[in-house]
Amino acid sequence: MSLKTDYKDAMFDGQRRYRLIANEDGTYSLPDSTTYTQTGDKFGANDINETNTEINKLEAVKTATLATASWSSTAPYTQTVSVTGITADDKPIVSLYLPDGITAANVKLQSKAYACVDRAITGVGSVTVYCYNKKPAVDFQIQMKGV
Amino acid sequence: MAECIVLKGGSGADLDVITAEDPDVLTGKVIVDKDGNPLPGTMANNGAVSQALNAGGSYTIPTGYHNGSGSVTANSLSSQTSGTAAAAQILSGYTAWVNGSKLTGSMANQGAVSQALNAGGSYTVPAGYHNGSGKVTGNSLSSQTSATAAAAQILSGYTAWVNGSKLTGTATDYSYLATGQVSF
Repeated sequence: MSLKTDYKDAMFDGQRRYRLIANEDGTYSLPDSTTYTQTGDKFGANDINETNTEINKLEAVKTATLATASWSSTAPYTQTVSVTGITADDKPIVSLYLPDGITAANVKLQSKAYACVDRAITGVGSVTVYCYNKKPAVDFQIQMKGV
Repeated sequence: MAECIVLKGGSGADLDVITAEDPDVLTGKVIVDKDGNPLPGTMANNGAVSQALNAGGSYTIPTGYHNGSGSVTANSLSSQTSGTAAAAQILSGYTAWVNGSKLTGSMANQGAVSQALNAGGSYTVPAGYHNGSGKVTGNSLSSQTSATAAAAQILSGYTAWVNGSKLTGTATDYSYLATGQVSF
């Protein structure tokens, strides 16, 4: 998603001006009576929450397993896997994920399988992976950074 | 939907399809093997190999790469059929190769020539091939000394051939008598 990038400061001449109004309960209110030459934008909790959410996404890494049996039968070979929290607007960086303790032989096999991946498209809660030429021969995992 | 940024490790090429091994690669060249490691070639580079062959000869083509400029040539027939015969030295009805040319023989085939000779006779042997069965024979002396005299008709002290036999004369020589003399 795109975050707001056109925030404007409030602009006015001289000092801000406030009107002092006596309330019935003995308190006073100070409504803003400044004459602005430019109205400023508000930046509240929603704004910072959205910003932080996006920053958290940038740092987050999620994995998904692409099973050999789940590929479609004809080219382009496709497979859609569920990824919690991913949205159709996300554009994560995708790479091969190798778990701890993997053997050199399996690294070779899974690297070959991942080499078949040509494209990945995000959806709501899922990613669809495309292999246009060759179907991966073994299960492997991908990691997605930015979801 | 949004496009992900897919990071690729390497070219994505499937190296398992590689079947070439070092003998299949020219010496001095390097390919990548199934494991992605450099594989120097060991195939000999023979360049342009040339060879000249005589008829019936053979040449074993060396293992390795040939650049297509080499050639195997057959030596000329002339160089392989060196000879001195002309048509006249080759039997009629036969052919032979001499110095690269096919000659048809013109030598007469006399076969078995036979001739009988009397004493003092001669026979000119005809030019050409003789098969070894012919022969020149001398006629018998008997046939050449046909006569009627016997020893008694031959003067004593003389010899003569009569019908193949040499006779020594036994006739007395009365030649010292005068003509008409009949007694001593």
